[in-house]
Amino acid sequence: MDQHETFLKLLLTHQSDVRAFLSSMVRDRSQAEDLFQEVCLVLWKSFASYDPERSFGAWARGIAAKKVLQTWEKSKRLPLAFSPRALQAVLEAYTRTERDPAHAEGLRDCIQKLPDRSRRLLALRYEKSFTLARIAQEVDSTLDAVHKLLSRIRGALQECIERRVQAGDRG
Amino acid sequence: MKPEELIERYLDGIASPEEVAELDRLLAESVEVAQAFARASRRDQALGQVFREDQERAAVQAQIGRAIRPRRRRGAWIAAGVAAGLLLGLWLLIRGTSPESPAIAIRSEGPVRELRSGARIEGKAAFSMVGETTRFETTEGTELKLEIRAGAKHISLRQGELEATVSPQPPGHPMTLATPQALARVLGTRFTLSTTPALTRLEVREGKVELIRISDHARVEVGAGKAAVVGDESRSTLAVHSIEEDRFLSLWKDLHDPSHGYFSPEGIPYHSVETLIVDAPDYGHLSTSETFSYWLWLEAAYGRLTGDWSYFRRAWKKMEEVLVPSALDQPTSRLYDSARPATAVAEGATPQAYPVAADPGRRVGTDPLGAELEATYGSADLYAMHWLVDVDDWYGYGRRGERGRKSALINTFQRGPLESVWKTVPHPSWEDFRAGGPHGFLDLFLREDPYQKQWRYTCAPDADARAIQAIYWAWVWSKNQDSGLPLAEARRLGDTLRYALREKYFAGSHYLLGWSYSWGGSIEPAQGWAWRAASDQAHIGYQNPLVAWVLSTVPPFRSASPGGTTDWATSLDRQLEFYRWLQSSEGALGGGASVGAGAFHGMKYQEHPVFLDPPSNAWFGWQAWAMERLAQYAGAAQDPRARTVLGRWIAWAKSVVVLRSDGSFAVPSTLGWRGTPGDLHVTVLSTNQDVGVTGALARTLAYAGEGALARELLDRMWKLYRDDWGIAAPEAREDYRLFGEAVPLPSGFRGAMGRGEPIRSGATFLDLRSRYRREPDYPKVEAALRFGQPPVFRYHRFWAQVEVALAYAEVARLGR
Repeated sequence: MDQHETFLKLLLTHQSDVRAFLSSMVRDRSQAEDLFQEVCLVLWKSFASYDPERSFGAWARGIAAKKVLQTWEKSKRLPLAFSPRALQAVLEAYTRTERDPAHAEGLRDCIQKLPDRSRRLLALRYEKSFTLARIAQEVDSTLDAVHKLLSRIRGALQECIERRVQAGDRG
Repeated sequence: MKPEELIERYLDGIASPEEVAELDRLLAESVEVAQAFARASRRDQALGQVFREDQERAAVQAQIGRAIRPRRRRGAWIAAGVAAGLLLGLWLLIRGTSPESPAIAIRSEGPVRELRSGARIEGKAAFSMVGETTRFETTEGTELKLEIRAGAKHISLRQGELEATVSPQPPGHPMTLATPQALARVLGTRFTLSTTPALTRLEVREGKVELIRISDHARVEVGAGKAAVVGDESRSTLAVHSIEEDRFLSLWKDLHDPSHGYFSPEGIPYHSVETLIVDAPDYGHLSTSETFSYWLWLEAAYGRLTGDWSYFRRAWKKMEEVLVPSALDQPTSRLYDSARPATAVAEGATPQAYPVAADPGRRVGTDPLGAELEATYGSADLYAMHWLVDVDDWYGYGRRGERGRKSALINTFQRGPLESVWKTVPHPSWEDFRAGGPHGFLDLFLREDPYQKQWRYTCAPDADARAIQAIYWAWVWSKNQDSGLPLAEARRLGDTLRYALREKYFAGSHYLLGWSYSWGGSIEPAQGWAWRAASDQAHIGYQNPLVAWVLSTVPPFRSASPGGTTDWATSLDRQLEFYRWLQSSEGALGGGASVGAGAFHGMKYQEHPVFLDPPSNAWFGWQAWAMERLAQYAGAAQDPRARTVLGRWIAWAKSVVVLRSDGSFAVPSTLGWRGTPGDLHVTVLSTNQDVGVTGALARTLAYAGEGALARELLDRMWKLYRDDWGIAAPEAREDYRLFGEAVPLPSGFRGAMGRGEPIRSGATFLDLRSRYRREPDYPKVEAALRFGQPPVFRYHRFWAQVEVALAYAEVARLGR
């Protein structure tokens, strides 16, 4: 496998984690997406210096964090929610809690098991990326009620995934 | 407000500036909060990914458009050029297609849905053809390309495995699949195609597939339940076998491939491919009579399928050469006196009770066999396998004490029921005082005066019986063929095996297959002597009613000695009674019995005969082994006594085998016992996926007419555990911490192992086997010793591989 392919494979495996980190720091989705594309370029250009012994995810997120801070320093227009200290803490937390592929696998099944109403609500929030205010309008409810409902659904999903993973472990 | 709630509000975009500031502070200060934040934001991303897949693909595509038309800020030109290539590559990897052509397939697993002609699939995936019910699944490590060629679907499988259900294809446009060695033409069917750089294998479940060998255009039609292989040089004709037969042949080839390392350079099968392994043999490149008996059986099954009996003959010859002590190995056996077979010695309860002294008070009877066997075969040498051989002379004792001479016969267990393998001192069977202390190893085990140089061997009767079982089937399967089977040798092996039916010091006969029998003598003929002793213990896992039946009723195997036939006829009845007596209320079989006032022909029930560390009837494998033989006997002799026990056992076995909906399975690993015969009960304490035991179980099920469950287990094993060398499941070896445990040794003993390791009180298992430190896997053991972390291995034990291979062969033979 040439270097290009190796890189693409690694990137494909870890892209969602890099995206997760970026969009948790930069709340504007299109800005977060632009940043992600730029981070990909930097990753490719510095791939020669990547040490394969290290976690690619941690390396990539480290570069993403730098990119966020650089961009923020250059133009304060980037709506960065947190201080550099908090950003650093989250970065480290990501590395301590590596992504569990079993969770990602379980998620799809657990979503299928949700009642239709819950699935529709999640679709509004995550597929259409509507704000909570807009969702509240759509389902004729209040902001707080929608938030509470979403929290409950996410909690149920989490439980479902953990049950699955544990059942898998026993097997 | 709880930090979790703050995080949720922030991610939902409804946190106030004050709440964000509060979260900022918590994140910086608390590791827990930062981790909770990481988890929650990952979860949001994952949810977004699931719900937004289509949108994201479009975004990547748009991004490529932008990157190809560099419109970026200054200094970004070069970067953008790289980006164009990079992102195009990324996109192609995701899409696996060129943008113009229409979608021909939909990928249902993984992030991408549409596949166009030219699409490549790598790794585990599932996809369906557009407009039909055709569906494919690939395994990890697969590489393939999907194309439309002249209106027909074409898949090039570079490596890996493809499982397919193909709906009827348009007339004149069969789907074709190409591997480096073969071409398959498909009209509509269900099949699995797999390929490595050297080999292509096709298994068809439904319908029909035409397979063409590229090298010579040989072609075969492979129908439902059949399989064919291209690239196996041991099969010159492109033959079609049943799927199970084909799997047997594939495992047979793996076992004989010199690069896999199942055999030594001299052609001796090792206990396992892996060297670092401690089972009953304490090193992987030792071998046992068990291993040889399985080898014989493997070649019997191979002979049935191919008509080639040369492998069987060679295996028997090698067994004789290596494990049956030659005249040189037992030089003073003619000095044996049947009227005075042995001097009785006491038995110690613990290894610490050794050395033990002679027990002059114990009655020693007359050996009824010695004179008879000598008269029949014209020699006092016993024709039986010694159980353990150091194939490569790892311990450095050498055969007959000749340094550097390989295939050294050795022994380990000598010191009572609590001597686990971890407490043993491996020593040469040829005791010439060259290693060990001044009296070699003798004074670890026995108090004698004076100590004399001697040889002694121990037969494990289950293995000799298994060898006879194997040649019996070879004989059945080779009728009307010029097979040249060593039947006279088998008859002599069976005749000699009658020693296993005797009480330890010949006070009588229990007629069961005892745990062992031993024979020995002085090395020096002047004032020399020889002795023999059997065993007072019978384990259910050693019994073999099929062999008792063969040796008493099947002419070519019936004993040439006058007492042989009646001995084995009595043994057959006694064994059948033993099975019935030991069967628990649930159906599983209790451990066994030992000589001493008791309810079973003067024997008393033993929950765990012979050894207690680990308890000898905890292992489920004994159940499968004992029943495999009873089931074969029930089939061969149509004996209702066997059928009753078998039926109850099968019902129990079916109730404790677990088949999970995710394709995995579990069989019992350890059993717990309570009560005594008449009111005996079993509980399954733990389960595992032991491949050898599962193979033996599947075979037993097949003999008992439960072919469907047998096939299911075998199919699952193939899918889950097939690797390049055979079938292997991971196992955690919690017991490997005992590498560092002290071996009980008499305090005054001073000596050295064959490689010079000092033998003295306090020495550990590892100290006595210093060469283990040089093993490539040794660091795993060291980690176990330091951190208490049980190391995980995937072992390829010879017997287990043969069990699985045989199970495929026997399931195929017995049909549905």
